[in-house]
Amino acid sequence: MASILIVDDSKTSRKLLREVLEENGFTIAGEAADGEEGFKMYKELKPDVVTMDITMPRMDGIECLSLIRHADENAKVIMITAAGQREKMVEALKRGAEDFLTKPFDANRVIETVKEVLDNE
Amino acid sequence: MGTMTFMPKGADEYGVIASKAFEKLEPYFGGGLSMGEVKEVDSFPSGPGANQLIKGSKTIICSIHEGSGALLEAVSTFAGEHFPEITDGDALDAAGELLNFISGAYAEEMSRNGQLYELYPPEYGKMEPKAGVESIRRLEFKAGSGLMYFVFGVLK
Repeated sequence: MASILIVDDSKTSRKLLREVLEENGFTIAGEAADGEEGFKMYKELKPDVVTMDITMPRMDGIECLSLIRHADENAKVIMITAAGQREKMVEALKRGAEDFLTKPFDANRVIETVKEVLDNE
Repeated sequence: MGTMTFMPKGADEYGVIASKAFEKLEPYFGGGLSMGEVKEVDSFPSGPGANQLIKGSKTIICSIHEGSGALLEAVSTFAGEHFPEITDGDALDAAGELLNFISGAYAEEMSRNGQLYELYPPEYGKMEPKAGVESIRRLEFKAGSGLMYFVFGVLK
């Protein structure tokens, strides 16, 4: 089953997302609490998909997305946003994000989105 | 306390939208979420809790605080994890994320009305707005046995 790296500064958010993904058979490759750690873990773990929160300390999700896509043009990154961050969502899509998910998480939407992104070869 | 379909008595624009936002959180509480009235209050509550700034055509401060020791129970249910006390770092993180979920759903409702809002990261402790506050509303809700408050203020 596909491996997923979760990048989010909130431990709670990571846990909620991890539970939804694991319940549906996905493997969590790792968890990172900011963009710097996320980029480092991406290079080490090479997950199939990254879920990336936008607003994080030290390095935000947009910058981390850019670094990952620069290092690996085939990287599949799904942005996680709070609703109302439309401009940032557009910016992320321009920088190569595959799709986005909004909080509060809808479990079905999370799984559908991850599967669709994995199918987009 | 009413059910999630109850529109709080006395709700104004923000209260109505906030009450809709709460509906999206029901799955995280297994149906144990209920809402009370929206009331005008004079100040933000003190004590443990989380605050968040929402900026758009108006600047709004949202805050989630406990009324009777209930926030710990609520964030434990929300996160699916027992926290020893509400001042525990992970409990505050869960409180901040719960507020982020409410504010996110709130901002989404506002965007349907053509108003775009940007959310800022949650902060913790007593909210002390640097700018003047036009009005402060307090929405009572229960997530478990105790009473909690979702407080939102519009800055001048």
